[in-house]
Amino acid sequence: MELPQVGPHEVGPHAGLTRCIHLQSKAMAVYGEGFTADPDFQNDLTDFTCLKTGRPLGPDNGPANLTQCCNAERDCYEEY
Amino acid sequence: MKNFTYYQPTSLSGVLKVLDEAAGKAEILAGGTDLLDRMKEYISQPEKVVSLVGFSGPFKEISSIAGHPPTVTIGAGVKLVNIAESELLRPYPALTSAAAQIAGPQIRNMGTLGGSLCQRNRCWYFRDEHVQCLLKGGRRCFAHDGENQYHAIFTQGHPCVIVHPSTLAPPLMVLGATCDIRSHKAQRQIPIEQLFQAPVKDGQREHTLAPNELLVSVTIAPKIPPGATLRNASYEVKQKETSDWPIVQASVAYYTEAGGQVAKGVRIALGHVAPTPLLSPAAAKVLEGQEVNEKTASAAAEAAVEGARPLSQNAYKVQQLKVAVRRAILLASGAKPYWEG
Repeated sequence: MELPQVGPHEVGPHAGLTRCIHLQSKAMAVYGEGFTADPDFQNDLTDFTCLKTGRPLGPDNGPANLTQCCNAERDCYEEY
Repeated sequence: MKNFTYYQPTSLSGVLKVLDEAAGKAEILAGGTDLLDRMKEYISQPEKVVSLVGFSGPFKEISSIAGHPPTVTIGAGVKLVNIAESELLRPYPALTSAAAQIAGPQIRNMGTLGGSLCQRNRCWYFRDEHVQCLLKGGRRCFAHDGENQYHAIFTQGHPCVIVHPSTLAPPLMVLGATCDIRSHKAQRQIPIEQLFQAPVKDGQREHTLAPNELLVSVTIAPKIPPGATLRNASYEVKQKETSDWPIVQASVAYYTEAGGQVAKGVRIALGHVAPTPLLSPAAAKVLEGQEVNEKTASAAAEAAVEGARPLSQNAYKVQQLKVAVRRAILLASGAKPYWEG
């Protein structure tokens, strides 16, 4: 299997992806900001987790994913 | 997979006509996340497969979420991801959080409300094509004496000890949902509790729909007085946080009157612990008229497990159910969240 081509581990949110600091996925843990190169991410298969709750739900009981956790209007949002 | 005839009607009446004529030999295909697995593993071998894809788009009643809280109607064809992210359903975190935690993104993007409520059970004996269990024409339920760590703990009077697999059923039960069911010649509405049954033999399903009936939509209409605040939440215990089934689940809904903290109209439902989703009147009675706190939540949790008769390998679920009920109650009350210790 071909491994995804990712850049060096970067710090800080990926350009254009201002998101909550508590959003996490396995690809984020492994590749840092290169997580967008992960084939699972590109195929919309990523399981995101909220680091605060340890669940796929945020503290406000809303879903934890890249779409929902970029919404600065959520009560639990803390910008990365 | 056994060969079958595929139908893709473009109207609701077309679907109902095929179901009527098929006389129990057809399966309905919506998201397909359960049915296709069953067909590939020879658990289900329908002669006809009736897809809802052809009409679910234009037929808004089955594919949309509509209404104004507290009354909201969710089409049976609405995807789980759309339930999880719906603005209209925001006042019902018991439901949206349960939908957001089902399986993984792939399943949530394909699976539907109707599929969640009408799916077949996950018992490994039932799902093994080589095993003739009670639900497949056999003479016994192998889980009674076999591997039963994920099976029912409310087992009294049940020859088959599956757990009902729907994660959306308990929250819908506490929110007072009703189902709109249609057949070629009739239409009926039933409380969602009456949608489920404990199957005991071949040919019986985990739901009470006749073979020619289709679940079209589910309407949430919690009974709360004007000015009162609805509080609701679900809590699940899982082995993994994603791509897994809950081991136990609890949903709770109640209302508090303006300025008050006393729980009224309490409904508590338990999931994944019995062959049907269970309402727990005993737990609700303990909480009714009480201020919600650690003590009352724990008392309700103790009441919820009354009557549990676990099997040889699943007594651990009794303790987990207590935890789930207590945390669901406290979550609904807005008390200190469980993840803060």
